[in-house]
Amino acid sequence: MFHICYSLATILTAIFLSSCSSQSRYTMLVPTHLSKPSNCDVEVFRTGQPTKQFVRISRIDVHIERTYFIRTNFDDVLPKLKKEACESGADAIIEIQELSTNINLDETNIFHITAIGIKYQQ
Amino acid sequence: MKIVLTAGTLLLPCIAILAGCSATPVKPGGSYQGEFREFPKSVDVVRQAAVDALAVKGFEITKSESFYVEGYRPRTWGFFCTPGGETSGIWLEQAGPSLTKAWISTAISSFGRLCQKDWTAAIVTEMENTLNSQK
Repeated sequence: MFHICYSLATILTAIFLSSCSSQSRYTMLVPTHLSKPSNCDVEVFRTGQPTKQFVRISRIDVHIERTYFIRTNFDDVLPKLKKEACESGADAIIEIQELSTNINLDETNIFHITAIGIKYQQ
Repeated sequence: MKIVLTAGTLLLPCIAILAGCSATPVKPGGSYQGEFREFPKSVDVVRQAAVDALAVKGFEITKSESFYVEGYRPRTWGFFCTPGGETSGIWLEQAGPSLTKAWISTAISSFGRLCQKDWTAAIVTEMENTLNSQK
């Protein structure tokens, strides 16, 4: 009986773990860049822009798909957004665009964020 | 009990293999369906727009060549559906210094066919939005 339960639990865990797929990436908008540690401090402007002068240096994309009617929100993707921004060498993130859609009888939620990484001018 | 364990052992690799299968997109034309567009931009700009459009729609870039970009949507498992598994291809041709032809198509794999989607129109719209915003 233990073996049956163990097998079932393993199968269910494997299926549940594969109920989410996520991707993130950055593309440089300038020819050269210096990466920062992936846990660096980066400012996030969900609306508006910083008052300091800046240069747009990277485009950042974070994509998450979840099934079983689980929804994704901005806070879920924020760590990945910051990580990509840091790796692209950005000081802050602006122009954040969120796109959330549900497919397959609303069971699957597709959540995508596109943002711009900026570097402050000294 | 042995039967359950054996069935489980055999079933898991089968599911993994089927889930890993992907189809190969075919360039639209003749009997092959897809979309064709001409963009008044250089091929480099259109290629970047194609890569960005695939990323926005959840594709992992599997090929990025000078005149061809391909992406695969990873699968996820659900109650009703196993979405993902589609492969989209974008063929590019430089028709002039500022004119690029693009053919876009999506191939649907045999496993989980009902839950898959033809992403071609969505990719075209995303590319158009990106390229129009650069005017």
